[in-house]
Amino acid sequence: MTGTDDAVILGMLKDPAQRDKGFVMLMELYKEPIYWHIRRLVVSHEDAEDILQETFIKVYRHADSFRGDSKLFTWLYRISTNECSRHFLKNKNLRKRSIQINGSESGEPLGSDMESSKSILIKFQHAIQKLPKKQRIVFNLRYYDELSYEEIANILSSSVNSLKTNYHLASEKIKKYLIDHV
Amino acid sequence: MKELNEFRHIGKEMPYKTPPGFFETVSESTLQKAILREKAHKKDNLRRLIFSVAASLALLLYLGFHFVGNKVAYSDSILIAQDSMPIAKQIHHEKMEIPTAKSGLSTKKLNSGKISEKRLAVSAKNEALSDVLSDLSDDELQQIAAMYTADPFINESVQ
Repeated sequence: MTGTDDAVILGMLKDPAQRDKGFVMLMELYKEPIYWHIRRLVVSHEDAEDILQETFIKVYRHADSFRGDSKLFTWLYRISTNECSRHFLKNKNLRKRSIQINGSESGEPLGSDMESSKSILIKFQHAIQKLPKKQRIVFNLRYYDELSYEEIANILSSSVNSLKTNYHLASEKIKKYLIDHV
Repeated sequence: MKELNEFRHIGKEMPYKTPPGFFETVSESTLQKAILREKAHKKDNLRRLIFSVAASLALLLYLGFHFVGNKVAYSDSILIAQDSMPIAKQIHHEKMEIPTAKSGLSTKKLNSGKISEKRLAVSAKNEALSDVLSDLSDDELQQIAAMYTADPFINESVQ
């Protein structure tokens, strides 16, 4: 994920003759971190796959409009996070119904996709799923993707101080949940 | 980095699974989708362009018919209405219009030679004189004739 790679890929994406090749290179480089970022937010693999594809299709179509003010991966994270937010909005009613049926906020997909032997990891994911959306995104980007607060601020268009507060609140809530449930 | 070690005992392993071979095929399938979406987008753009041109033409035609067409229809309807009147009514209608006949249409009709203003005035005058003469007896007519020959002023004006 170097700046040189990004510049080469962007150049290829903007050249009609090399566009497809550049797109495959871009996906090879970023598909896994972006997929896991999406998966941690939406939990279900099917939803994560759809959002991943939608994210890269947007990049394919709008590569010309990318001015290079931020890094390419920051742009990808921003698009995928926005797609996740749109997904949450679209499925808001569905999610409410799912909570009522299952009696838990994490819903059915979380349990079904997890390996039962790793119960602590499951509890940890339950705790993350219980967080408010913003805290969940900040926690995931900081803890799993190990992005700096400045990078997260670029992705979420937010201030560093607000992100630090969100992360602190999130980690406190997770600790409390783990103490109560483990 | 201290904060990232808070959950060291849990680690960063993800408890989720992906279907086998997912990451090997997703790039190619996404590229195919992107190409299809691009084609569909171009078609949509073309369709939108055609629709907007058609809508503009329809609007122009409508406006043309609404503003220009109505004016033509209005002037035509006046001509048709006048042509379909009985002749007597037409004469009366035109007589009525004579004092106020400033519009190009009525003066045009009068000038066209159908019934001229001058002819109307003369015929009206002749009708009035002949009516008066027909009411007079022979004696009265002879007296008028004698007066006519004896009157020096009338004779002078005739000469």
